[in-house]
Amino acid sequence: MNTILNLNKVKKNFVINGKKETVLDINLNVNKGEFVTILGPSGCGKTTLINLIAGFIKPDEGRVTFYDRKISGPHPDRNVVFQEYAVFPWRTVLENVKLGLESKNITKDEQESLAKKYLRLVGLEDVANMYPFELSGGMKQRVAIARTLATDPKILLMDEPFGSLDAQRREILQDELLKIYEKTKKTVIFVTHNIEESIYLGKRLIVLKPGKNSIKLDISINLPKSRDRTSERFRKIEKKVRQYLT
Amino acid sequence: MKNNLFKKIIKTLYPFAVLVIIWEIIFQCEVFPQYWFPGPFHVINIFFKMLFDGSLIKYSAISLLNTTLGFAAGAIFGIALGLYAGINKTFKDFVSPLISLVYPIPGIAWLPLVLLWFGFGYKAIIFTVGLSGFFSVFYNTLIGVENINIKYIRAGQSLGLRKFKLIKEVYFWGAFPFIFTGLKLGYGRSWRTVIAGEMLSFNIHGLGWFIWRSNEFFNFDQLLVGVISIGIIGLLVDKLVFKKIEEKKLKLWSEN
Repeated sequence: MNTILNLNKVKKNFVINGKKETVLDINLNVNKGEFVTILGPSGCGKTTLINLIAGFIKPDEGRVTFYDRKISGPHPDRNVVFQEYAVFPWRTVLENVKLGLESKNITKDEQESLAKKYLRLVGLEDVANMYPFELSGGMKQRVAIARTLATDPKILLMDEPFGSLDAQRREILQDELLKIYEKTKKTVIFVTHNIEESIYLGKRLIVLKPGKNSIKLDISINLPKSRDRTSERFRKIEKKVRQYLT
Repeated sequence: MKNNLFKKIIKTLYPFAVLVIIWEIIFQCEVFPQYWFPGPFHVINIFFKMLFDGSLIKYSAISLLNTTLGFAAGAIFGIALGLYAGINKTFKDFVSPLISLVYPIPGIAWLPLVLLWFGFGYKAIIFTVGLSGFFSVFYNTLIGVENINIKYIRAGQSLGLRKFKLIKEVYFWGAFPFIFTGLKLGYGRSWRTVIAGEMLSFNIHGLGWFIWRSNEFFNFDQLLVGVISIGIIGLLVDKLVFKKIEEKKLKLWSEN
């Protein structure tokens, strides 16, 4: 397998109540095309992990490399879908998706048609000219996904993207994300605190805990492509994962 | 529909009608000597006379031009430096104490000095007006940048926006609701300065100059026309410029 992302003895500390505490302490390899879900309670360093890979923050110790190069800052190759809706309220849906394409070396027409292609992918071509304030939370998050995909990232970083949606919308978007994953074959790191979501989406599941040696569990999930949340095998994995979460 | 519009017009106009009636009563009862306190209908009459003979338009246009030019220059500097201070902490730490000191000084206080530098004329007025507008815009832009949710900046960076493009697309628009407040406040300050500045000058024939001259010639009816015109222009600018931007742009930030 070819590893594209490597975290080598990476440590990140934060000062909490005047005390230095290790939030993340991790060794991790991610292969091309993997769908990795990261599960853990809040405060376990899930978002910190995403921020490190995205290049928003730097590790206190160790190295984060992507395609064998040290990560020095944010880059469209490692694009992020954020927990809160980070679509720009001052741009229309289409303009949001186009923004990442504007600095690329392509014509305006190509930008437009590419942006529309990704809006079609998330089923939002009808609202292309609306502004975010006119959309529901689920739609906003689909815009964010389209915008992120439009820059053609090598890895898609998703930080609890469906966390603020109701259960029904969450499941619809999970299925859409899996379809997009099948189509684009992107590498995905998906952070969540929802056990079911992590099993439903992931091909590989990692459970994190706060403090030293953050990885508590790292398993591959060998369930069929279309997964049944109520199947016995699904429940069995859920039971196992649950033990590691306490 | 038609009925509604009619109601709206009545609703807007009747406070003014009340004001005119009270004014007329004070005038008729001769609370003040009528010579110093012209009645409303006489003033309204002069107002329309000056409006139609073009003189009022001319004075207003000069004041508006001074304000707009000065304010535009002040606002551009205010936004640019405000964005820079919001992004660069070293610059902010350097410039903030200085601006806190200068901010409370009314723009007009600088005019005598500015007149020495630039001489009597448009340059001096426009500079002072710009200075008056600058601080509100600068301050609000700075606060606006500091209040941008970090997720927007990070999203912009991850999309590959760099330097000027990031500043334009994310910092500027992210801070826009605050910048807009700064522009509104700054414009008000600029107006005050332009009127006062024109009162002090003898060769710039704007509304301020007209008011001052009317005073010196004891034309208190004309003086009132000048004063009322300032109010009307302020109202028009607010309705035609700021309200329009508010309706078109600011609603985009409303959370649903």
